[in-house]
Amino acid sequence: MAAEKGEKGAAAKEVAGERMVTLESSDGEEFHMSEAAAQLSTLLRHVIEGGGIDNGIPLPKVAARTLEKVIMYCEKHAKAAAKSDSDPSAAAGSSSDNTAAASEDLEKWDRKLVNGLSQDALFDLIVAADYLVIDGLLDATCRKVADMMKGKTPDEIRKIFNILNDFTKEEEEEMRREYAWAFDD
Amino acid sequence: MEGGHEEEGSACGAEAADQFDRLPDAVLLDVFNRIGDVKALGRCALVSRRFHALVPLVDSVFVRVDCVIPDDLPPHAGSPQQQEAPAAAAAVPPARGRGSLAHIARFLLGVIARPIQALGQILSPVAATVSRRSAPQPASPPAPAADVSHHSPSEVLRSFKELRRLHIELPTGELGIDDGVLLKWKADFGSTLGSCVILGASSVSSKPPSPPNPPETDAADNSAASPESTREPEESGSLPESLYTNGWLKLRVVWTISSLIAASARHYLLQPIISDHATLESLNLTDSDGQGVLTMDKRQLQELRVRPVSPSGSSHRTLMPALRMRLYYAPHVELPGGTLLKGATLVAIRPSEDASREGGGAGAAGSAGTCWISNAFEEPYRTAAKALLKTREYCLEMNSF
Repeated sequence: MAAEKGEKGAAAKEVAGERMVTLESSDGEEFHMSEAAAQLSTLLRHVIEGGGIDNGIPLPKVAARTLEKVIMYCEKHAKAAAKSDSDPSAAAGSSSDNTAAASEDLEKWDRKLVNGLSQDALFDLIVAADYLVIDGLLDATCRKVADMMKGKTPDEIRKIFNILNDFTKEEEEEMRREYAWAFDD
Repeated sequence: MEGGHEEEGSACGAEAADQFDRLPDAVLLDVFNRIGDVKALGRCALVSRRFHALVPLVDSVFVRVDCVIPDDLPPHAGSPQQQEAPAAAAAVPPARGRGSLAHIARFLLGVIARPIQALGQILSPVAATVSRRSAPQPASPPAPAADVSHHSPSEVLRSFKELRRLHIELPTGELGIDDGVLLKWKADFGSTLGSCVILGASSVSSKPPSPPNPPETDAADNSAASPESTREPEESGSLPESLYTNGWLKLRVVWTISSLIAASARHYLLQPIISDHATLESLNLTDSDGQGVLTMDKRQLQELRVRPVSPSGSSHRTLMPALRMRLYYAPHVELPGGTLLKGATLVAIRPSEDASREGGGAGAAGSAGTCWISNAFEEPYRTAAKALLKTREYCLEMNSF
């Protein structure tokens, strides 16, 4: 049953004891996400604190399939944070093993998420994470792109990402000299 | 968009767009900051004008020195193959295949080898038994100061003007140690030594300990973590007589001095890099063996810029001030995971000036000052350090060198 919370605006409705936020993707689809998860986005946090919007928060820069992934990420991380907060052994500080294992699992989950994306979807997610200011998601996605660039020649990098080589021949030669140390193998 | 199937980012013609067009420069820079490896960054710089403009702005770089060319072998023009050069003071076993930063390693290793050589000459009877590499060598001609075909670390890092975090990894530790011996050091520096912690053991084995042997050299301690066990009555802080007579102390002094020399040599050769990069806030110089870690934080880097380094005589290393050392010893220490250290020794070193200023001295184990000792190493060595800290503390002083 939805209860109105005056200060937060109608965008924050309560569902099964958890406050939810409604988001609208660029293609008009509506999504719900818990407020705890929405807090991971600095942008959404400010919007919610600022009083929210009656019919949900429009996100014209984020398409539905991307928003879906964003919400998946935020919900997962919000749950993990809540779990470690409420974990009594973590509070006692004795089981750093548990927290280490938990954060390792979370990292694995993140990697699995980004590894399963097509290149287009990955870049869409980067744009969304940047726009929504979700640091952890930006980190995971940028790390993935960085990994794709490591160990490759400039030409290979261009091929993978469709980058145009806009140097003149002379410029390219000069740069080869400037960065010669990156190439002697 | 023309009709046709949707390609996933592969180059298929005019319709495929540069994926990075959608990303603002700040995000592209975020990607570059996560590449780390300086060679990979160098290659990125040649991809396009935009990449070329942004790569030099990264704030964090990792330079992995690939391999070492021994000091007195001529560089090979084509593909430098690694050769053992047992007579060369700088000889270290090839750690990896050939690589482009061989020249950097040579530059670095050349200057480190000579101090180790000098050390060998000072302590030759002991050095000969402790380590092959620090044994005195016939004098080799000094390495050429600058060789055009080499790439110095400064050159490689030259274009990175906004560098804030730098991590350089040498291929191996500088100190030759015999198999089964453990020697690790961690040191931080400003203009001179800030602190250094050394962990050594005369043998490392993974067998579970048999019932403790009768104490070999030291009656003070029968087990690692029992500070209450009987000790030889003696002056507080001074080492028992027995330790002076059977090489126990000499060995540990050699460990200590070698580690300090290696640390100070690393520090000395970082100067040009530090002066070239005024934005640096954190600097780490490690080796892939995990033998030595040199760190400098923001405050220390600033200090070095303001107060230049004093070299030690004509050797290429930083002068060590007068030092106060706290030494801890246990005949057996077991690490988590079942490894057993025999003759485990922990040495915690600080300039005497700092130590007296903070009122640290014998029995100061309870004061604010032991975190830097117990946190110097990662596990499993951290446990060893903590266990050793509970044993009796011996104080030693060393002159500036």
